[in-house]
Amino acid sequence: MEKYGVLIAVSILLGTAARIYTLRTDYRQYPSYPHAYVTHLTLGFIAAALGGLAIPALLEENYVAVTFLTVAAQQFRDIRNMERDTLAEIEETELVPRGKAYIEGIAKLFESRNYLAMINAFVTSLVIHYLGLIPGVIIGILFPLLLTRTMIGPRLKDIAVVEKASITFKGKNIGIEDVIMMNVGEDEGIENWKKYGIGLVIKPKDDNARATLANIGQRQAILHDVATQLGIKLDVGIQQYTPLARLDLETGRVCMIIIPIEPDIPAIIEAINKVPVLESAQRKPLQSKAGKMAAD
Amino acid sequence: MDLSLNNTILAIVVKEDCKTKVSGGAPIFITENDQELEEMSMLISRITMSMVHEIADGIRMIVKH
Repeated sequence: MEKYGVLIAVSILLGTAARIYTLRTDYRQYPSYPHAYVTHLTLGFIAAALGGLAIPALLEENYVAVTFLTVAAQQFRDIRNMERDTLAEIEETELVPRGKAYIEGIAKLFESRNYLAMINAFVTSLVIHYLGLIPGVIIGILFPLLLTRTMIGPRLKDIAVVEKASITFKGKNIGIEDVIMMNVGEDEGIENWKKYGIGLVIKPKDDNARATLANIGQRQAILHDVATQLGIKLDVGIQQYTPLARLDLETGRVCMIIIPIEPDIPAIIEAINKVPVLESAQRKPLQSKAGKMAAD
Repeated sequence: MDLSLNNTILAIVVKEDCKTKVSGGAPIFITENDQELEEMSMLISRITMSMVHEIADGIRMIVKH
């Protein structure tokens, strides 16, 4: 195997580099601690090693060795489970939970990024073997940049329009326009909602978007993202300031009320616009015949 | 079956003049005026980590969501 030394080393290196590139800390604050970095870099390295070793194994006509790729698939599924478990555990400590759909989305993302490291190492070793070292390195750098770009899913701004709306108060009931969302019994609670409450309306662009926004997981993800980015005036035991996102059944709009720490409307709209459309929440009724007929 | 106290009425706080309108399984607290109603419902909701709902003038119920 000595003749493949450079090939293996470079492809593993670039595979791991792909994993490092995709390991970013953003507003989701996850992973935000060194231990998680170590875990994911190590797993990324293992993934890259598996990808990088496949070509030399095949060239040596060691076909049995390729079965170790199945080990990789198993291992990456474990990564998804690991992420899901961690996030589900800390869910209880969140004031505004992420929701199961969001957690599943994040866990899937972590899994797929390891595949990315593996594929990158595989492609790099392939190119190095057939075209030479320099083209291999170039492909190994460009490939993840290209792939991560295509892996970015739609954001909420692609499927809906977010607008400010004023909260309506009907006695102790609060809501937006005709949609009553919450009944706050305490006078103090009502006062605070009047003073600091912010209402927003998310209008779906078409029937696909309407079905997606109706998903409870998607709405919870919106609330979580706004709460983490703009802060929220909420604590345990004070349920009356819980942010809510409810459907207007007539039009499919999502009405949302929240008491953020920063009452900055453009910032809130920006935060909502950037919420990812969850894979598990995406619905496409317009793709079906029945859906299209019903939409007329 | 899931057994939980969520979304069940934990207590009812009423003003004196509404007390004939309520009865039943949940603890009922009778208060003398608006201020006492507000204070008592607030305290019960904080202690039980739940929420106050006003279903009619002078009748409030404490529900944990």
